[in-house]
Amino acid sequence: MDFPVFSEALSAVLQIAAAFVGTVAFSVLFSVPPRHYVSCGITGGVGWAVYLAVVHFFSSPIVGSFLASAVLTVLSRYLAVYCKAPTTVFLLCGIFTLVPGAGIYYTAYHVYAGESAQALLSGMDTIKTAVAIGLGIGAAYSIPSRVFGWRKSPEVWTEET
Amino acid sequence: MREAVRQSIAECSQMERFNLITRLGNDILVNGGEIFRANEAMQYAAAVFRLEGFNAFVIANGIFSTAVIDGRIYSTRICYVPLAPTVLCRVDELNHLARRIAAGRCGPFEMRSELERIEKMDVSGSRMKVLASGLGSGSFCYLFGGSFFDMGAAFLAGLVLYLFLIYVAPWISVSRIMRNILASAVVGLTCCLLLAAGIGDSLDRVMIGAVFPLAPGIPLTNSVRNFLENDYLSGLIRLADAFLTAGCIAIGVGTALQLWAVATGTAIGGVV
Repeated sequence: MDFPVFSEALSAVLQIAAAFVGTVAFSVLFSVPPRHYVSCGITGGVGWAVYLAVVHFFSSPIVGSFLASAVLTVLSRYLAVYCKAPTTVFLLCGIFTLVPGAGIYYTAYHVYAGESAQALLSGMDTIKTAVAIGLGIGAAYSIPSRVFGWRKSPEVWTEET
Repeated sequence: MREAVRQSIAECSQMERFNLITRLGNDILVNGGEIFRANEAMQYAAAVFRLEGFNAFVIANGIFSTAVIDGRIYSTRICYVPLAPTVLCRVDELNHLARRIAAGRCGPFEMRSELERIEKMDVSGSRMKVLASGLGSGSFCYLFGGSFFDMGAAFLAGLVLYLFLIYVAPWISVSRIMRNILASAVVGLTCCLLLAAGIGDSLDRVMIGAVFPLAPGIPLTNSVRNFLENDYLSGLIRLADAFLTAGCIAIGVGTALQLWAVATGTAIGGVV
């Protein structure tokens, strides 16, 4: 591999594919109906692609988590209208790529290895990532639902008998 | 169509309609549906089923609802909804059912048989779940910089994790906290064993991939959404769940590392 750009692109594609497979695997764990497996996988793949892009160009994992979760939430809301399913189905599975599992592990590692300063740093990083994910979801939920073609309220059948 | 629904509403007693509506909300909540959706579905169903003065207060693990029966007596139902594993296919089906009821295309009797069908709906099989856990662990291990050997090790550890959760954990303990600690300790020890056996390159990466099926993604997301909907009480309940789960993973994995270090006489994180 003499072309760093090429090998980097290859690794990005492989990572996005892994995010897709991982998200589909998680949607099996949460018993998502099989017809939504692909949509869930796409949500996870897109989320990780955004994260990779931001980390590559701005080298900030926190901003990456924020933007990725915002894009991912917008996508799940769109898919919810398109596939006529609750937003939760896509959001819960897709968000798993961003959950700070690595942060939890490193915090535990440093605590048990007796490196308190390191442990505090990883712990803070974990909490920051969690807050960034939360704010991303919040930002995406501030978009009015009309944008996604959602009616204001469903017609409820209440004619007088 | 509407004539049949209207007749079935008239034939069904008010108490029965009230029971069915709270059961709908309970089912949505217990399978991991959103709180506002459980509330909305119950309100719409009550409007369609001509239930007077229906009011519901829904939080993450309970439903309190009242309705006026026979125009004079207040009736109240309180449901305790335990924090249960998420089953999204049921949430999807319940969503469809709620939409049909709101549109006036489903009467109380049909609703009861539908609810019974949905409550018995198949979840992913145990073997599928074990395999999915392995695949998920493997892929996430790659995302966090693992090599192909690491992926293999994480795949095996992911299999062990769900084998433990499905077949062993029900025998040992009922508390979620102890279950999470035990499960992550088992995963941690499995990873150390695999590394010592020469499968995988980096203990960190294998371990990160392998604990991912336990990571509290669902309570974190739900908690954030509850806070955004101004439902601070449910948000706190789920935030506590998310933080406790994260803490349990940390304790479990750390204990496994420590045990391995003591057993083999190496420093923490050392392999052989």
